[in-house]
Amino acid sequence: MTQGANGQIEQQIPEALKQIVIARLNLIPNDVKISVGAEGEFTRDELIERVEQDDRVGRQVAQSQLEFLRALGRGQLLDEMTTNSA
Amino acid sequence: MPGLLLITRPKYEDTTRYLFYWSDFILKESHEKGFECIDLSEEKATKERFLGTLRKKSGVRMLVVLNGHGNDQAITGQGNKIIINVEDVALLSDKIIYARACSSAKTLGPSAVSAGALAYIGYDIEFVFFTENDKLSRPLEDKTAALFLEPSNHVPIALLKGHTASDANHRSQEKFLQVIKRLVAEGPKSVHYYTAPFLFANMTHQVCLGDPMARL
Repeated sequence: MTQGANGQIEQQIPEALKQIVIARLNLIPNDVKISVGAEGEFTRDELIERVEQDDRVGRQVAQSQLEFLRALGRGQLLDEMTTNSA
Repeated sequence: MPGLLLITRPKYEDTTRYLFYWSDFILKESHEKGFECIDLSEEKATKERFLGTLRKKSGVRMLVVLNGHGNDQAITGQGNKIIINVEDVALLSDKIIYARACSSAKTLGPSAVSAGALAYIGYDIEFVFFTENDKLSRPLEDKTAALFLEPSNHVPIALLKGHTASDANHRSQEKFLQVIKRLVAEGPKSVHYYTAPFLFANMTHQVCLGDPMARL
């Protein structure tokens, strides 16, 4: 079991999700860094490494991507836009 | 009697330097609204000064803005030294707090509310933002960081304008959502499309605890 009742990734990132997350992280250009609070700053490649290692930072990144994809799937991020375009 | 803002702005590495400069917009709003401002910046962002100020302002309704690193139990100031932790939350009684720091809405925020804080707006996971490598010395010119820091600034700015805690949180979340929807509409060809999931995380994990109707 990798997800709790609230959809949080509690143990390991499932392999299929890991590959999707890494593919999406590859969209990040190499001239930016992400600040993840006290965890530090990470380049794209370092972030991908954290996902591959399945550590705390990697799991939060995977969780964020998963929640975003779920919202996209629900149409949550398009509703207002389609309404306004009418 | 003018309102009161107490803000911490440590500055000792890239992340805190960005939060330091982007807080200028909060200070500008406080000045425009006639707030008295106690700015604990850089070396002044210490536990002694922060808690000492709160002791002097005991019982006074005011806005407290914390910028820095954090975890579920504590937030840090200059040099990543703890500026407040769960043992100090009684001093946040009668205050409205916005914490731009990681994970403090997990334990520190609920503890503060239980101890009498009017409202606590913060994040229950890591607050993240991207920076452009060639803008590190000019944070306010960083358009990528702006996608994250402008919407988050709207929490304290809305509070300073007189909105309730809940309304300030929603207005900020709406700013995040506007950016996200634009990026989704533009699709992967957008230079900032990759930021959308991270903006979405900041938006959905920005929570308002305590009295939603609390205002300054």
